[in-house]
Amino acid sequence: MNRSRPESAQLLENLQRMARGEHAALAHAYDLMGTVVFSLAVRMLRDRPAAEDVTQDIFVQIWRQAANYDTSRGSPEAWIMMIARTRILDRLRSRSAGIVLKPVGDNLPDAPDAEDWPDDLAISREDAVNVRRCLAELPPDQKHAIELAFFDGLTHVEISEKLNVPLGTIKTRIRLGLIKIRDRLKELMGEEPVAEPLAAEE
Amino acid sequence: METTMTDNLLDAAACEAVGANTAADSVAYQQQLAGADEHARRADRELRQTVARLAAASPHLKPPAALRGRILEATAPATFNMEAYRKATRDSGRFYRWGFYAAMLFLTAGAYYNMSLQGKLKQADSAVAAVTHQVQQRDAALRAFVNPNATEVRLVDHGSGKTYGKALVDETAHTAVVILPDSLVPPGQTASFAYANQKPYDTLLIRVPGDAVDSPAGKPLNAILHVQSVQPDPHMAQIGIGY
Repeated sequence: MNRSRPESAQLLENLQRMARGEHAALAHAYDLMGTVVFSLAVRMLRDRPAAEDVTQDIFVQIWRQAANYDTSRGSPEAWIMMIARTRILDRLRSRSAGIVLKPVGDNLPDAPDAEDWPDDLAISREDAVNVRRCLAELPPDQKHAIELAFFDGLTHVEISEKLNVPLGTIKTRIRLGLIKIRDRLKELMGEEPVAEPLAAEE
Repeated sequence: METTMTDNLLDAAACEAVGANTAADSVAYQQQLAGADEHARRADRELRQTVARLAAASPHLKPPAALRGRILEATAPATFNMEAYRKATRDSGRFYRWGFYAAMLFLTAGAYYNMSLQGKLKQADSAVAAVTHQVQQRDAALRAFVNPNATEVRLVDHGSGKTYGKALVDETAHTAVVILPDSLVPPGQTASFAYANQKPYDTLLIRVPGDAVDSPAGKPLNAILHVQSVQPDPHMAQIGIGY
């Protein structure tokens, strides 16, 4: 995350205030992350009422566990998104086993240039533009594997079965895709590139 | 401790970050990471932050305005607010109003009862005082009757010769107990016994209920003022009425 943004610093401060029991800090944190969490929930669940419920659950959990946040384990945005994805995946997997997921993006508005993204969130419009650009630049098989895992909540085993591709190949696609996104984001955001060559070609 | 990031470890780290590991794979990866070096932990941290950014790839959807309030309400510290409770329960306050009326009615009834009781107590006090006075008069009369120094004087109507009252006179103590029919002494007045042209005695008047004695017929109540007409015998005693 771009930690130099004031919104990101505010989010960290609000988490620390929540840890001290300041209820008003939760309202500010929601203002910074509520839209991001809700958008992800709608994208993954494809159900607005369910997305509202799970967003509420997520922020209640954030309020209760704010004291557990450890800055050494990542940015506050990453910590919140980890909680959000876990709760959304729980909701996804609690649905009946026979549910058929619709294709990614079905019934959702397209926003390839992220012009719709507000600029006062902890994840900035610039972040949104860059992430979408990085995803668009990925090879289709890597992009598809990451989307199935991230947005549809499938495990690598399920993706392997769904695409009829060996499990090892799916793991590699996910690894390569994520490392490309990470490095490309650093490049786009002007951050230091990764020193060691972690990526290997499939 | 791991000193290098193998492809297998990176695969597991990437799948863990994006949530694609199975439960068993996730446990195995966490164990590996716990024994890994800072290099591996930093890679893990970076991949998680990269995945967190992927949320921005979702189309922006603004949550409903009410959701913010619901979250704040669900996490609000538990405090009791009477006004909020009344609003939540749509209490119009009529129960409080009727309760107030009932309390006022109760207090009014209590005040009326107290005033009524006070009046009765005053009446009872007056009755007790009257009885006490009667007892004191009776005791004085009894003492006078048995007093060896007392002389009995009859109060006689000269016209009819009838005796209407008596006096017990103690010359030594210079006291007199006068017994007269109640009808002969106007209310608020008392009697003073004296012999003609002499110092009046310290007199105690005992009223006898009118229906218990034979009152002078045809005489007005103030006839007692003409005390000279009730001539005592034998010492020319007379009764004076005063306030």
